Amino acid sequence: MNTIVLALLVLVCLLVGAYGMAVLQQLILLGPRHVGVALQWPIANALLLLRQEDLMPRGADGFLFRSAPFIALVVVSLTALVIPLGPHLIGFDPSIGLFYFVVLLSPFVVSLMNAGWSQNSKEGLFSTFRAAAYLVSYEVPIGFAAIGPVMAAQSLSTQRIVETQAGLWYVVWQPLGLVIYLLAALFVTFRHPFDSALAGDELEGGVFAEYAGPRLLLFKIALDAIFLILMSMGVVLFFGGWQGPWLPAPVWFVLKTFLLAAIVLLAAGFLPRLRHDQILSLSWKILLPASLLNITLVGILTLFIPGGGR
Amino acid sequence: MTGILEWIIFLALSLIAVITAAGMLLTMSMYRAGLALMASFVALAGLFILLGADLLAAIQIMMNVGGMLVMVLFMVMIMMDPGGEMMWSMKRNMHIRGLAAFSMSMPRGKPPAEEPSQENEQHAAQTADWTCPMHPEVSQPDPGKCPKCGMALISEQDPASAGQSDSHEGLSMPMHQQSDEQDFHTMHSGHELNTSHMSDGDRQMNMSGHDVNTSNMSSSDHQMQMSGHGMTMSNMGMTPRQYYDMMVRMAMSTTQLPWAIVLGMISALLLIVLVILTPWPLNPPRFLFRGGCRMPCWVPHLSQPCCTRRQWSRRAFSWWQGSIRSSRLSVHPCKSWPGQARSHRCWEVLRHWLRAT
Repeated sequence: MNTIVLALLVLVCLLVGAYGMAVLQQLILLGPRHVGVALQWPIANALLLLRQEDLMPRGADGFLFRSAPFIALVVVSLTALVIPLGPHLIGFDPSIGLFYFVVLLSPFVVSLMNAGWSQNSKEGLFSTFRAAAYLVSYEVPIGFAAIGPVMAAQSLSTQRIVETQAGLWYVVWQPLGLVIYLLAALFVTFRHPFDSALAGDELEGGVFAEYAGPRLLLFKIALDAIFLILMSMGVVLFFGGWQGPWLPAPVWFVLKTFLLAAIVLLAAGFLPRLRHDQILSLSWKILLPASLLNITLVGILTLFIPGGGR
Repeated sequence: MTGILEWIIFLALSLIAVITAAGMLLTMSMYRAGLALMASFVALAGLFILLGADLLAAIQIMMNVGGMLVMVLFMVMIMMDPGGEMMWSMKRNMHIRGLAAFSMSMPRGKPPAEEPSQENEQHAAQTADWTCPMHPEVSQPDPGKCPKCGMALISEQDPASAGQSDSHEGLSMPMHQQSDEQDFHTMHSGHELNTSHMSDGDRQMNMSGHDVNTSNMSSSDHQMQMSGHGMTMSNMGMTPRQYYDMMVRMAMSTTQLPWAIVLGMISALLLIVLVILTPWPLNPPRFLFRGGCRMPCWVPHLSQPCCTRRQWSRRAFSWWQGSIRSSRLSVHPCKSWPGQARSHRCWEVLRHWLRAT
């Protein structure tokens, strides 16, 4: 019973966070003076999508088409369990929390692939191919970038990683890891510079080309939520998680997460949109060697930084 | 309560694992097969989590999901029919009864004799079949209309081949007569007939046949007609036995073959025996054994604890084990568990099992 209540709480937090993320994106899009519009926009959009007709294309693989948004939301909710909001505010604290998180990023792509494959359209199929082709090329950098804090904390538990940053945030001596992590996080969610899989211009929204109504709403929630989760994991790994001086721990965590998300979204707006091949060469030729270099640097620095390799 | 819940989750996950693995074998779509296998692995990972091996579970999920996605991607990009449309339409035509449900385009009926005798062939040639150009399974002794579509029936033996069968009587391999102009002509007309069958489309597979032309090998696979020349023409000059063997080799599955059935039965029995004999789950639920006992007694007794009623449990244990002497059970595992070191436990279990069985 307790477990069910906890799971529902995590889900509610996730939905509220996804709403906040949508508001933030709208704020960045419209400018800081349109707070009212930005606050209303996600609700209006949700109501609009809920009123839309529930379409399924002819020849679609019905089971996969219907189940894909739910798989996406389930996977995101499962990743949300290991995010620590406070000293004891965590859904589920396994000893391998971070690894669990990285592992669950790939089933998210499965849901996108199912959506693209099942809808019986060329756009979705191409999008599916791209999403699957990108899978390895962002999983490896994000995994290697996350190894840095793990080496320093000597634990895979997210709670433990936060606790070891009491003296010094890892971003101070692992900035390269942070950059790699954030780029890979943008890649995981197929956001602006890396959005060729879900490209609105060339592929009509890619896997979402044939989705409408409540299912599209579920997908949008899942995409916003997984970006939020990735940003909060970035805060956990590099910015000391819930730790902060005066305010209570969850407030600090939320503040840091949304600040990081705002900075990342703003900065990503300045980057040029990358082509398919450019994305892959960035991932394999730059991010991968850089993350290996980062691991080497972290390995050396843990010997010198006080509290680094405890 | 938690014990029962664990059992339910365990059984549900194992059921999902088995069912999705079977779905992987039965589905015709490459994509769905990859997904089903992935789901099976994820259910296995759930079992690992239930057994307390969560790192193993995470590795299982990561490796298999990534690997499966890449595999599906490559397969889908390379293979001719990734969605399984062609296979699906083949499946629609097969007979979903008994073991044949697992095999595609398997010829029905008994395999024909090694070499069909001459009298047999002549007899078959005399009973001329009339068939529908759109429904090759329709065959009647008299001309008339097709009961399915109402088209006029055509003779299985067209006049050219009938005359040819008179001139080359007794030759079972007309492919050897390609120099004969008339025979070449009949081969050609046979090809046209088969393409008209192919537009029907479903049970047919294109395959490049002999050097003359491509022919439809499996157009008559559900019928295996033994009518002399018409059959040899549609079978590209093979004897019925050769044709049957080719169809068996082309079939998607060997389930109809007797040795495959025997092998499958044996392995299924072996699996069932293993499932019964294995101490699943390794972290067993509480309700099976109370009172500090660490070893399940193999009898699902809900009311009686096994360690306090040792007499009863020993009897039940020996009954379960079959006809073993009670002296071999002098050390009941329940007695020796709680005091022992953890590392010795598995060895004790193993030794006990070896002794008991």
